[in-house]
Amino acid sequence: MRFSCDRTGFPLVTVAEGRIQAHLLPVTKVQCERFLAEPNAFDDTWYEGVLALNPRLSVHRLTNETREQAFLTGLLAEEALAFARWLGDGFDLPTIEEWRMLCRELEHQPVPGLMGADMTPACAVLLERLKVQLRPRSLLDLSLLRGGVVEWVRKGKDCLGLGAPRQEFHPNLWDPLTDEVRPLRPQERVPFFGCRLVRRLS
Amino acid sequence: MGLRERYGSLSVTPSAPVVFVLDASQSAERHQAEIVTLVQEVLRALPGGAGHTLYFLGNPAPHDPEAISLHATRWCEANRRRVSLITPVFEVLAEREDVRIVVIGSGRIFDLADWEGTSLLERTLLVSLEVSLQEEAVAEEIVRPDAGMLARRLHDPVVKVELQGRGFLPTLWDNSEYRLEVRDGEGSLVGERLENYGVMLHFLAESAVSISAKLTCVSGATNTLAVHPTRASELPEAEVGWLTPEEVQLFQQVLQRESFTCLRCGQTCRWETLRCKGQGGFGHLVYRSLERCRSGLILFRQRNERVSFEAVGCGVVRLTTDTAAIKVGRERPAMYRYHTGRERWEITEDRFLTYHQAGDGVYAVFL
Repeated sequence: MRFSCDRTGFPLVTVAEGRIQAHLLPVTKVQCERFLAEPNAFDDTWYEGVLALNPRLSVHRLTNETREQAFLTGLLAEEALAFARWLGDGFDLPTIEEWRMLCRELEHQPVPGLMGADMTPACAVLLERLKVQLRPRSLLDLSLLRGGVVEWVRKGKDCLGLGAPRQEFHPNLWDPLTDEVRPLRPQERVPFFGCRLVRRLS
Repeated sequence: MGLRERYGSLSVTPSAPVVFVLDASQSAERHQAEIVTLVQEVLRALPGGAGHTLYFLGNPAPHDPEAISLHATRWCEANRRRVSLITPVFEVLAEREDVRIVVIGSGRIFDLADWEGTSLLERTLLVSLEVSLQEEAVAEEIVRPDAGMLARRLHDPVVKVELQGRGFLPTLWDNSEYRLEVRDGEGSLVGERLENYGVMLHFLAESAVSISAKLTCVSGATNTLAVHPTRASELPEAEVGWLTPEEVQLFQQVLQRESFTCLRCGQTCRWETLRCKGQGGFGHLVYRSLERCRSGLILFRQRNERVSFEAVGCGVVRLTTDTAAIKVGRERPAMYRYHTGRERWEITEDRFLTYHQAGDGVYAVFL
């Protein structure tokens, strides 16, 4: 399985016979902060509002109980797309089919030692902590496609969520391979909604 | 490889440079004028020429703080829409062990905790003009200081400079406040709590090696500067003169290891006596001509019937390509030989005798 890194130094995994690169993990606050450091429409007030729903915690302090605080949640779909545009050409929210295909492909992949030569120190620390906490038997376990956050995906012109957070973060009975999660009010921030991005290569 | 005679100079800025990091975000917008004024007043109070720089939260590009009065409005506008993050600035400063950092603003810096426990954050002072810059205390923070107090906090003068390198042995230097040290076979030139750390020097060192100076500031911050190569002619000349005819006679006697009669008090002195105590007290130099010379190495040179002296004023005399006599502080001079393989100056069993022959017709004493 081939790995590379995005411009924030976080790993991308190539799947679908080389047609798609996908974030190995949900987008983290550290990644988003690279975007926020540049002048744009998102300012301190915006970020305070997002962090009020899921407070920020340094990756150096993450524990088994607090690991979701590394990830960016409380995001609206259009805000995730703004980040995707900043990340580079071709980055987008995955479709439902792409997200589920990623689950199936990662399920049988072992966790490799190295996942991208240009990884930032913060990402390396995060991955090491996740490996200790999750004891992943496959890349699917490590990827937190299950047990992570609910992630924005495209369905036609709309966006909805796929995922099955662990009960301690948000109680639910969802199966992301069959269930879709729709926020009651799409323009309201949901504390457990985050995203991971894909880039279609073909 | 091997030792080579070289010349160099070092000039030192007296205080650690300060990095100003300003909060130009919306949360600090109403304090913009106050922030700019504070920076200007602190700069006036700090020693000049220290290489200060200025950044904005979220922005890794440096700015010249001296230009803040001209460009403050434009700079703040250009950085207004950045979220308050320190990482882009700290990543640029990661290798700078020499700087003190002050962050001035109002409102939370979101990623400060990511740098907890790092040397950078330990050297960072947070200045809040209204709302605290940190959610939890990971760095020192003060509230609304006046410029004078802030400048005093930031002023981090150099307290020690140490020149060193492979095979380094200084043989002549023009700043007498520096002292020579030889520790574990390595020579260094050390200046502590000086008013002026500038120095020009003549030294021995391995051919391809750069000699550097390690600077230490009051806060413990360190910096390394390279010693700049110079020409021999740029070094100040040593004090020179001629012995009087009577002193030449005395000199000829001591070379024969004969006792002599002190020219100044009539006391009979052993041949190696340099300071006669015939009249009690600290004593007087047997060569009156040397009275105005500073202590340290004196080289006598026989030239036909005359004898010249050169007051080098340091504690090292090079005897051969790889041997030297070194006098450190009040210790007796010791003989050293440079071991090329181990790259160290090693003490030998040879004794340095007063009027030690340092060349053809050249004799060394340590005053």
